[in-house]
Amino acid sequence: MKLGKALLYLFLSVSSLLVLVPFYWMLNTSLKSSAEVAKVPPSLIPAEFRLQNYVDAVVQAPLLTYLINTLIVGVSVVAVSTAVSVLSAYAFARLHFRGKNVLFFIVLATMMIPQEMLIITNFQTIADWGWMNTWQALVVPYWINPFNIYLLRQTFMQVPDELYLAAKVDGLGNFRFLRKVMLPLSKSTVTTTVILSMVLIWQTYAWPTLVTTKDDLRLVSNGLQNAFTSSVGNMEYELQMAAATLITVPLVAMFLFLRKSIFAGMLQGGIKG
Amino acid sequence: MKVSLERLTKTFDEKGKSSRAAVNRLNAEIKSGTLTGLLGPSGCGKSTLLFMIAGLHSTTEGKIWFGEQEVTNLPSEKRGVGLVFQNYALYPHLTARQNIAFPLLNSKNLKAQTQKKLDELVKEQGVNVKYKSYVDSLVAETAKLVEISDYLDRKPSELSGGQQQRVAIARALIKNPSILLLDEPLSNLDARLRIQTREEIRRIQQRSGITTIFVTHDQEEALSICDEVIILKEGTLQQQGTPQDVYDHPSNQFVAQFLGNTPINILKGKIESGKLYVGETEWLSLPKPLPDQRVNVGIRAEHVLAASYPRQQTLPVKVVKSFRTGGAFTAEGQLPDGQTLTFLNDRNDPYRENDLLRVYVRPQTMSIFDDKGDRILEC
Amino acid sequence: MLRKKRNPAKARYDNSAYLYLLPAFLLMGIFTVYPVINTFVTSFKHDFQFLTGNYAGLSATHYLDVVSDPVFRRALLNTMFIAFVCVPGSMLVSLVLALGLHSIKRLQGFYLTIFYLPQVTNVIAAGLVFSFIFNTHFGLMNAVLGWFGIEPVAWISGEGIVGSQERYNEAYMRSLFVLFVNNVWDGLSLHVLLFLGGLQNINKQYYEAASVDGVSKWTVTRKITLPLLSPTTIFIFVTSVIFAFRAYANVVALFGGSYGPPGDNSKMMITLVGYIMDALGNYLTPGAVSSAGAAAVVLVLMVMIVVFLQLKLTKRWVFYR
Repeated sequence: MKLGKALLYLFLSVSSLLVLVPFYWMLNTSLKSSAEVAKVPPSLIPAEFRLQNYVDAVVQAPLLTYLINTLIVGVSVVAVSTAVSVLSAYAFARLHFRGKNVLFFIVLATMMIPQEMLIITNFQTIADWGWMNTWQALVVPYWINPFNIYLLRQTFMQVPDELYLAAKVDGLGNFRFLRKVMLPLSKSTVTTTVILSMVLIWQTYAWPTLVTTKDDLRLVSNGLQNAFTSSVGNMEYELQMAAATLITVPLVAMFLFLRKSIFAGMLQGGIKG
Repeated sequence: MKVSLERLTKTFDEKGKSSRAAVNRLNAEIKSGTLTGLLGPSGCGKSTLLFMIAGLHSTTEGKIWFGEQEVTNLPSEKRGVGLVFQNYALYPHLTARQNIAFPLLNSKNLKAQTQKKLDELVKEQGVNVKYKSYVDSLVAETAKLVEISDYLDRKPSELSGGQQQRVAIARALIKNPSILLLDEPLSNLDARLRIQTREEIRRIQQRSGITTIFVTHDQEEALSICDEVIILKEGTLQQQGTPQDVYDHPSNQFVAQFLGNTPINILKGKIESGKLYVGETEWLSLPKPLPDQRVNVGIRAEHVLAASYPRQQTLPVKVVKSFRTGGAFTAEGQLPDGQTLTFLNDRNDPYRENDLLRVYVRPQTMSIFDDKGDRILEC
Repeated sequence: MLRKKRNPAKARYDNSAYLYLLPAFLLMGIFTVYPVINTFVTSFKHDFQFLTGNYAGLSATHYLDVVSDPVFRRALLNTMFIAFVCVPGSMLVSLVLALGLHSIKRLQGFYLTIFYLPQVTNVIAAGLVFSFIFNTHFGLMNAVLGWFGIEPVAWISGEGIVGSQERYNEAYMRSLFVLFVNNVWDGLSLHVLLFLGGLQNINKQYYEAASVDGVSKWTVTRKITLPLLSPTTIFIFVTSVIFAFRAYANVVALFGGSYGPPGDNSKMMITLVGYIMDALGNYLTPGAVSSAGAAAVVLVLMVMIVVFLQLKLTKRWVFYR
């Protein structure tokens, strides 16, 4: 191999190692006993692998609750928001009605509105409705996702007109057509929106922080931030890192499993190797 | 600059598949200062061959010579070739002027060469010219040669297809290459522009005198402007010669069928006792004796002549169709054994269906091929 | 024979479409459109009371309060840092990595997967990990520095800053560094992918043409690759800056709920969104929500101005329509 190429691989390898450092440190710390965590300088590999930390983290946090909450919220958000987006995108893509362009422009405009403007009033709305610390508060605002509507509309528009007209001749109503033709043909985009929604719920922090004050409703992000982070007394880093690992693993696993399709969406030529 | 190709072979390694040779033991010599066409159907290896000459593809086997120098293993930029891509590959963010000047301003090699020329010029004429201005003058000169001077400050997206191509040619010529290579220069242009542009390529080549090789799949194009054509099929050389040569004396059936606007008639027949039979019908006596065998007879439509008086060695033909495309009048007739014969029609008095006539062909205008399509008779 | 409808306007209107749109627009109305208007209006309600909805007339007092608040100025400074230092830093690193990835065939997918990994981590989790890496006593960073004989650095613990402006500034610089590393780590994941996509879109024939002319790889990168990559670059820059203005969760994870070392009340590392969230957290105080609204409006205005300026400035650099 030529020198240039060898150096390039070296550079890339070193860079990837650097990127992996936080993962390594997270794992490393999560397996240490609290005595070992307090060692100065810290050890690079745990003296013994203390899986008990994970159990403790789950018990103390309560991490399991957060994970389950996130899962429940995630599934309901995905289910409803996908349905809402699909219906709207279908209407914009295929149906003819007065004001179509104006209404779609409104959707586009809302796509550009930053969360920060919405969060204040939505907080007020939730409070007025008595929805503080409820499931609804966590789920309902996420049911609307203008970006997904836009994405799905683009995909639906690629289904040729002829299919629709042929179906009409066969007597297929609009909704049937959507279910039996449009959706199957747009499977990959729908999958993408499902993934995006799920990742969104996994990452979201500000809104859940506002509307949940009780542990039994917290999601992973705001739950993690609140647990183990006591400013007084000793921080139990090993538990914190164990919790962080538990939260990171599902998403990383999903990513590794689906990486080819995630990359294909954004790269023309696909990836080699 | 003469180009010699010796047993040139190129195979592409594909995982799992047995590699087929894209270019297969090709021997050819291209004379200096000529315009040569590499002609053949899609996939015959002509572009691969062109890129091998350019140095973009490596050689699996064989040698390439530019004049007396072997360049087989020489990297592309040291060969002194100018290459024009089918899609022009003009840098879209630069103006035509900047595109043309690009090689001279950005290649160490070319900069050194051009600087040397400038130094000699300075010594000779005693003028003090900066490198950049020298390059500008070269750009202007080359632009004039390809007639693109008025469009130098436009970006490629603001130029028509034909203009873009001329810029691409200018960019190749400014290096003063010893060989100019063009990959399907006309296939992106519409029909009328194609004819105009091919004449321009001819003109540019003659004015500059550079050995030029271009790839095309259009036989009419190649035959109309080339000094010589090299016909390829599946990586193998079929024939090399002047346009008239390959047209009148095709070395095999493939070449005969590939050339010519109206497809050549190929009649199945046989040779028996020195006589040529079409189907089972005896037709004429061969001027040279040949062994008995099955043959394919190639006759161009324009060489089929109607017998206006009874004479020897004619074939009976019943007219089946009479048609005209624009200014070309042709007719299709049926021979006794059912084979079809295409021939020229009289524009003033076209044949009608079911007309009967007798046709003859001068033996020198026929090509006789054996069963496998190789030529067997030199007429 | 099916023919395409010539004039869609004349075709029958499908009123069932409105049913399809109903859920989305209902939700949008309540959670998107109404909030925009309401937040804007509330920001002008002097001393707005959250529980009762009463307020003491309309005025711009809260805007003045916000803009003159030193904590707001701090938030603005930090957010600018993220937008105009961290983002370009991340983009630069990502560009180099993407160029490297683009030049290799084998293992390209492997490296790309690793580089993309930060994108799928939970923001809070990542922030906590970084926070611990930079822990003064037990962190990895100081351990590594220790190998080179360097004394442990108080990255974010802010020791000894009380009462000393100089110490405070030092601590601030160090915290900015930590923020920078975290942002670059997180940012490069997406940026590498986008840059790589842009690089793959460049027609290979440009490179072939250049190689026949003998143009060196470095010149090709400079004069061909980068200019042709400029639309992608600008897209990444604009969208990343927009996201940078929204930074919040990672700062909370890195520096804690008080945005800074314990004992310090200046909210050293607060961002604009953090400012809004804190104001909202005090919602029972009269006027707190109005201030939050005012800050939000100011934030949105700033983003719009910044994006506008960005697009204007970068127009010169793109050669495409």
